[in-house]
Amino acid sequence: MTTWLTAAAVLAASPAPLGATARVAGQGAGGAIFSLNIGLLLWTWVLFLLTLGILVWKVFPLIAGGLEERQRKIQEAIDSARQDREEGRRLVEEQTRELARARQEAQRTLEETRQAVGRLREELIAEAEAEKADILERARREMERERERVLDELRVEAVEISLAAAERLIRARLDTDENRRLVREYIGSIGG
Amino acid sequence: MDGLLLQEAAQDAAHAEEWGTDVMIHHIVDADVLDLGFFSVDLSPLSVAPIHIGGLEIDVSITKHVVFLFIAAVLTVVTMWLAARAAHRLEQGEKAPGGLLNAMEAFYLFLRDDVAMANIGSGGERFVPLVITLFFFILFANLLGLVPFGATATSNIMVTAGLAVIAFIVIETAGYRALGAKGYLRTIFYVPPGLNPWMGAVMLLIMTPVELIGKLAKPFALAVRLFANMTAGHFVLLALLGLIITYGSFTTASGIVAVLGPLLLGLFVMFLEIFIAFLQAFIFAMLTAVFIGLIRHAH
Repeated sequence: MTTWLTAAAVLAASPAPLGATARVAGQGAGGAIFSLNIGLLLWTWVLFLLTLGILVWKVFPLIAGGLEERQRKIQEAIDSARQDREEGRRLVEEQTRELARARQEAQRTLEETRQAVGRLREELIAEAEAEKADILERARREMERERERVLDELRVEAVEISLAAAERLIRARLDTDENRRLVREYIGSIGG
Repeated sequence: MDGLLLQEAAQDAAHAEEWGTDVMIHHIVDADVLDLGFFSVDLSPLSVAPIHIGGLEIDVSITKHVVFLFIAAVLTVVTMWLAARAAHRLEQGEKAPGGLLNAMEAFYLFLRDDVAMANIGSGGERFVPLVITLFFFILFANLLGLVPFGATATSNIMVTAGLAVIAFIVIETAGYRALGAKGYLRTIFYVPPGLNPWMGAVMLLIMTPVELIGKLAKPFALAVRLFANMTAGHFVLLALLGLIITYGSFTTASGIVAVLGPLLLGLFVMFLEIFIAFLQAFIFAMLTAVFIGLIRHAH
């Protein structure tokens, strides 16, 4: 405490150079806490400004540069990620649209096909019907024709038979009833 | 037997009292000897004769505080340089960011964005290096005092004054450059607009000294705040450890208490000191930024 007081007293009392007490400090224990050594102030300036100079000259640009570089890179990564995402979304939308379109197309094609098939079936059926009718008609005509032919043949045959019967009749010279019986018998034999 | 012990104890106590102030002052003040525990380095061969300029005696001898200030400067440069080298490697894609770079970047970014730019505003980029250098320079100077056999250069008023003067010059220059000659003078001679001439004159008469004192009080406060904080911490620590010498040799029981108590308290104060080392460095850097910002946006 006394040292304190003396130091303060020295400071207060001495109109002498401010640095005077510095020597006291420099001489070891018992120096003043408030020793005003201008030399130390100069040293502080020199060392601090030197430090500041070196840092500004060589160090800060590197740190700031590194930070900016990283910031730029991260920003780029963010931007590109956003772009990719938008691109992806766009692609998905496009795909969805494309898919919907394709589905619609398929639906339409299916519908068309179904209609076509239906039409075709109807056509085929109609055609078949027509053909069937045609065939039937043809068959009927054929049958008609055949019947005509058979009838003709029958007629011719009947004539032939009649003639043959007549020939027999004449040959046998039988009475009418006998003749008639004979004819009937003959015809019956043919039918039998 | 008891009487003898008491007598010895009394002698020890007297001795301890002597020890107390002497050692405390010795620890705090500047010296031309580096006390490194087992040996000491005499710096007096490096001392030079004081230079006389007018009535002023300037002693630029290398003293303990100069040495530790130098170590602080070297540590600042080396730490930042290592971080910068890591940043450079990172930039070239050689290496992922690691511990030191991350730590320094955190400090750098905090000091740049939240201390310098936030307080100075636009155009504050120019002051960023100063704020950051102030912080680290003061931080290392503060922390060196906590290292065994170290000394706190920042517990010397001339060191803190030197830093405060630099801050003062930067603050005023920044003000001058931002406001112009007329605007800068208005930060000293200020008449509120819309005042009648008589009142204006009165205001000028009253406010000019106030403004001037305000200007000078800022660096003065910066210097004293840092100096007082660093000095006080060491005084508290030394006083606590001094208790061991004062009371330690009375009896065994008191000795144990006197050793354990102050040691635990000292440990606590030591942690506090680490915190204060950071805090004061931060406050100095921060207030410098605040003052620059204030004068640049004055009135």
